[in-house]
Amino acid sequence: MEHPSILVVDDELLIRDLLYDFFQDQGWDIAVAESGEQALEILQEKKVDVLLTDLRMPAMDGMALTGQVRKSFPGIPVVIMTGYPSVESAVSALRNKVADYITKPFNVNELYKRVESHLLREDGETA
Amino acid sequence: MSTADASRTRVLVTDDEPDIRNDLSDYLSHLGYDVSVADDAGNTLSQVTETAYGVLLLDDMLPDESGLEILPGLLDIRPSMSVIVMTGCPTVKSVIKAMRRGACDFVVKPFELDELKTAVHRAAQRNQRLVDEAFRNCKDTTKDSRVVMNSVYQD
Repeated sequence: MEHPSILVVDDELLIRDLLYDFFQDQGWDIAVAESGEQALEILQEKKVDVLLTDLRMPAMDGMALTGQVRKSFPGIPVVIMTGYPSVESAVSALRNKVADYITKPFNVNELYKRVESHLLREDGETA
Repeated sequence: MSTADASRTRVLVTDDEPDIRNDLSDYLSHLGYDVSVADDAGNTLSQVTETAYGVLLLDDMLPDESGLEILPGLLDIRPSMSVIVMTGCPTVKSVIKAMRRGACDFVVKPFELDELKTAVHRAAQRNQRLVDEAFRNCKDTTKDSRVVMNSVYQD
């Protein structure tokens, strides 16, 4: 089977680097973006099986990016991660058909399990 | 789907508080939905087993078992049913749990009736879409089987 591919979007370099190394070690094809705009450019050029995005980012935030991905790349499951969790943003994620909502700081093995579980759900009705 | 189509949806309201149950039942019936009520988890499970509800409004805190605990089992029985979780004590963890267990929406009590109306309408549309997809897939499978059968008989 082909390596699964993931696009990680976070404005924090530390998180991007951590996840880049981790997913690469797991044999995934990983791309990183520091903004929603950059993520959309990468999605135009590259096949992505799952998108993992930070919620709070300057300019386009994770929820706005989710909206764009839903419109232009509807089959890609979106997983949100945030260091500022709230009931409101979690409900908004649920209503926007986000596949998962992960709070920071996270255990990277737990995050991996969550992300991997969404690879298997290709029914367009993520979570 | 038009509002008229959505409003034919069967809705089950599960809440142990009679006032909430009755108020929601009256309000949704007034909107044209076909509404039933349940007051605990056991009753919900038996009703969902018997009837193809399109939308379930499920209180999280029930006397016998938590709504979030029974949610996966309910969706195993009715995979296309849209479940809206209701709670008076929301936490980030409970929303995440609802999301991971297959709820399509989460409303916090006390809620505005307009908010509920929108949520139920959206849930009914989602249910209709899933039912239509399942029907289409079923039709395609039947068609494929016919093609295979015809080719077998022609051989």
